[in-house]
Amino acid sequence: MLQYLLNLFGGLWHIILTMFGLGQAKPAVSTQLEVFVRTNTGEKVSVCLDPSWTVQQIKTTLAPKLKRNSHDIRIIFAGKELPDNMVIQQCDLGNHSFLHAVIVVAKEDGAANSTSDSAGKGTTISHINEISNSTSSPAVEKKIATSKEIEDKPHCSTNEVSENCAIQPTEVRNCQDFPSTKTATLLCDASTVMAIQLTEAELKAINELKSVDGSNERPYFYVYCSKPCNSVQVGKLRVRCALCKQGTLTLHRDPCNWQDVLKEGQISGTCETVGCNGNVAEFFFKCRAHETSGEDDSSVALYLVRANLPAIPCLACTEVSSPVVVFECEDAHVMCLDCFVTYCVSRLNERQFTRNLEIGYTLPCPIGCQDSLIREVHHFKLMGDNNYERYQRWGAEEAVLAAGGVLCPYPGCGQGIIADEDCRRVVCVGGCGYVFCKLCLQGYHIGECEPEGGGGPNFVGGSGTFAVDPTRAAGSRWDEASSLAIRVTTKPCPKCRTPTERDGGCMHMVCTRSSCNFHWCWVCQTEWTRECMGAHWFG
Amino acid sequence: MAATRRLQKELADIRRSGIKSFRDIQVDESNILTWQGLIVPENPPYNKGAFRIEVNFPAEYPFKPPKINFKTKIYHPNVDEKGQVCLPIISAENWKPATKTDQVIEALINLVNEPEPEHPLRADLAEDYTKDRKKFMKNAEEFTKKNSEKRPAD
Repeated sequence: MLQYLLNLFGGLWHIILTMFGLGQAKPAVSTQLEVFVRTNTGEKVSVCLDPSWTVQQIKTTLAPKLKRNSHDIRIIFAGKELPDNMVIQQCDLGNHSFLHAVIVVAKEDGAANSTSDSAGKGTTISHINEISNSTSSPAVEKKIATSKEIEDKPHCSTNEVSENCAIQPTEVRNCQDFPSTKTATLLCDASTVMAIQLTEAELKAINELKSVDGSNERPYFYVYCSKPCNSVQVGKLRVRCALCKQGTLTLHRDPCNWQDVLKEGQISGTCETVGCNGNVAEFFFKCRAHETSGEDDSSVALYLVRANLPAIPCLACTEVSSPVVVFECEDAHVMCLDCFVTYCVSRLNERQFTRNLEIGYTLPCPIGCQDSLIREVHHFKLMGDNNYERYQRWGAEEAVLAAGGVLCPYPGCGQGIIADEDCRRVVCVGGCGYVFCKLCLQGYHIGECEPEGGGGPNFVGGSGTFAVDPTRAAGSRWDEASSLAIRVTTKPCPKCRTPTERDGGCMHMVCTRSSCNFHWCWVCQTEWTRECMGAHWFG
Repeated sequence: MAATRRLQKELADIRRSGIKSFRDIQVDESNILTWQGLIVPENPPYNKGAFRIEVNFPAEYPFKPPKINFKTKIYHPNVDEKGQVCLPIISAENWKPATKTDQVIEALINLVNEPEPEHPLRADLAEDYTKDRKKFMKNAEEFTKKNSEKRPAD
């Protein structure tokens, strides 16, 4: 009781301090976490807590704020109900995180209530049983001790639970191919990362590594945090109800592979929000590096980026670093992040990304392995903002061209337009408004297309008001210098007309547009033949 | 930079391997992207001399292949008068970032030792090579003696 009063007083004192803006200044308070608690009845309160507290202490602190008895409060975090004896430090809770409190409505009352409630408990308890079976790491063993205590607690009627659990084991067994699932405690734990993305061989390698040197890197999820970090960061996995988007959801089973996490509707759960019948879990990721800025502050998982626990050298620079990109090809080729960026940027500069109907504009493993295309295009964010913007623009352009569209030829526009097949007159709708001929990409004209260099886009026809010498007019065009430079230094690809510059080497040209890839001869300006190879390969 | 780190490693490896047919590797400290070295072939008619080559690595190495040029004139169906050589392993289509420079050099030495007249850069030499080997050998040997570098003593 004294403890309770102290906690209550401590919590209130801190609130008073923060109200006066003093909270942050006091060093004793700085180790505390400010956490928001949202209840299933829609209330939202903030609590300051110490990382060394147990969940029971949070409940005690919360109870007066919510005007409930602490026994009626269940705390849900990352898809799991937190056991009373769990210490907050173990939960991977950041400052300004959201906890979810579920207020249990009069347990012993109506039949409907008690069944739904005990079903919820069943999940939790079966989960604890899982833990007690495991013996692998000391951290987990510590948790076993706490979970056993919970089992002994009188208010968990074990008989009822075991009955309700009858269905549970089958569901859990799905996960048993993944060796570490048994040790999984909370979603945020490293063990879930292991369960999701590591093979048995890798796990073995890691265990061996650990036995040599205990201070090795841990497995993590990696995300691309666009705001505010703008870089690859260690991420944490979180879960919410797919229907009401609240974290008041307890999972019926742990995810055991990327499919479970990335695909919708793979795992069911029970949503505790009042009035929500949601039963599907929705996973998302948060950046671990910055203080969370709210409930919708999420990041994209870069599932090819992994901690380099087995210390595999990069295929390009042969250095060992971590994290690395692991491609999805059979050999799972490894590349360090620096080389990955160089690889992407050099391919992008040559416009050599591949267009895939399902994935979009992407790249395979640099070795050229089959089925190795990068499926999550956010990995290309690693190239930096400017390159990513270029990547997006070109990807869109390739998609337009592949769909039989054209790109507006007006200098600086380039809007993609998909025109009707039999329509030659194209208006740049939504772009610059320029009207052009679909065939010759010059300003729209009636009659046959003229050879290049004819009218030009801004040529004013015979109806012009001033009599200007056409050559003078041509020389005074705004973009004349660059268009002249392009015309002088390049030749068009005979197939797709992409202006191409030859910067050395032989006369054998391969069109730089990856969707064209036409082989042509710089001298003949037609398709590359054996004759070209024999007669003027090098000019 | 990826290119620099990898090239430093590759250079150290090649130097350590002590390969007999590629030696005297010179690299300017300020620019590791350009290597010079001496090719010492074993097969006639090129075993009468040695040939200096230059390997140029692009800044995007190893995502773009290196280019090889002969600095010493060579009478060879697969090397043109300017010293340009067409080596399939470093063509843009075949290039793999995991290909190492020692493999490229090995392929080059093999090509020098065994010309491939079916993919020639100099059609006239290729024709001699296939139709009149005697004449080709005589010309090539003379040319080598006159133009090539001195072979190292050991």
